[in-house]
Amino acid sequence: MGDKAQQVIVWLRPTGDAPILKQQKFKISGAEKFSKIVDTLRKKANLDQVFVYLKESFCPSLDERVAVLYEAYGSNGQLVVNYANTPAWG
Amino acid sequence: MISDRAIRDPNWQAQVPLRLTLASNDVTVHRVPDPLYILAFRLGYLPTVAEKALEVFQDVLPPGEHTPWFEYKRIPLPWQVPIGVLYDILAKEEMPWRLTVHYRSFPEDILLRWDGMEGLKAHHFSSMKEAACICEGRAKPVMDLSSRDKDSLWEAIDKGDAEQFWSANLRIRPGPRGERPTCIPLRLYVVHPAEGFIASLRNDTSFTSRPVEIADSRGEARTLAGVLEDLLPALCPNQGSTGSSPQRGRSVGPSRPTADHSEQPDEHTGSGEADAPEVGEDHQSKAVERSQSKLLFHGRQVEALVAGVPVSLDAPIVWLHATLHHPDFFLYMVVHLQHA
Repeated sequence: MGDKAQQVIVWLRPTGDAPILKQQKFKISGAEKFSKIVDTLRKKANLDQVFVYLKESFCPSLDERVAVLYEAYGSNGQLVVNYANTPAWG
Repeated sequence: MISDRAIRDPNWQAQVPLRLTLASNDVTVHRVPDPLYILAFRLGYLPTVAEKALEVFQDVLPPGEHTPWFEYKRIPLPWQVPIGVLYDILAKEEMPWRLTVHYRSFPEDILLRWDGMEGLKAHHFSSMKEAACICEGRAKPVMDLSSRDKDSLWEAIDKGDAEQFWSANLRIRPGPRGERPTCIPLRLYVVHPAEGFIASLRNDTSFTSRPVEIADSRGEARTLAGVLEDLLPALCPNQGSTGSSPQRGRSVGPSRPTADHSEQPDEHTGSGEADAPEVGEDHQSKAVERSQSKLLFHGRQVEALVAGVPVSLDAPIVWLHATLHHPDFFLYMVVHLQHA
């Protein structure tokens, strides 16, 4: 069996006044929860509060697995995550 | 045959009788006020109920800001999960449903932070956008809503008014999305209490929110049984291995568009990070068995509730969604695994 969790490339894209990251893409195991992406983003962008979106529209459950979200909303091995420091796409 | 509308409208009007007791530590007078009996729409959200109950309880509350939350048998209830779904997970047949309402000391370590009714509304419409992305590949139908339409849709939930809801110019229907197959948006809660009672939503339930294909590889409509045969082993990989040991469940409920309080497993669970959702093919094929009208998961009978009603395993998933989806266009389903 081995480690079957697929790797997903996360592409962090800023929206509005959110700071641009030096490293916008990173790899994560599909078995991780979405909250792990948010935690990583918060550290990288040095933000206390961050608003995150998929498909430039909604925030998924923080507890959902990255693999499930990639299957639903990703393509070409990438999951695009938009982030903002104030609510966007209300 | 009964029309779809004859099912849809009662779904909107269905209510749960609640008996609300004000938490005694919120009370500033000697005598705790009498409990309040109130009917709540299944499709609605608890904070709306708390707002109504405030009219009765506000005189005895200490000065300060109201941060409403509810508990049932000492379990704090997530505000973002619809009332009927919480009832189906926790109470099933208790009438009235006996809840304690709090307006102070919000448990931020357990529940998503409460930012007021606007936060609840934003969460609801975020959920609707996710459903639109699953059905149509884009959130545009929801993004294009005027604020007047949004207010009207929101008010319709509060009034249990299907007519008002459908009179807003919003149609979201599952369809093909480029190369992706047609899917419906499903939120599934699997309840597997260790000793027959639930100690914590986080430990004793698994949750997923995802697209579910409406047709199988031969192009035939997928039934509820077919969907559960696929989802249960992926969602509860440890169910068969250790018998009655508690699951490292996922927390109930989606999250709103802020992340300054990430959801951590609570202290009883230890780390839940290591459990990969996949299990071997052999294991999967044996995990779920169909026996006449029953579905068994590791020998335990599966009971699936939609809108509080046990639904047939042969129901096409696309029809369940079309007739019984919530106002955010998600189909919510609660699965109980009968105690072995």
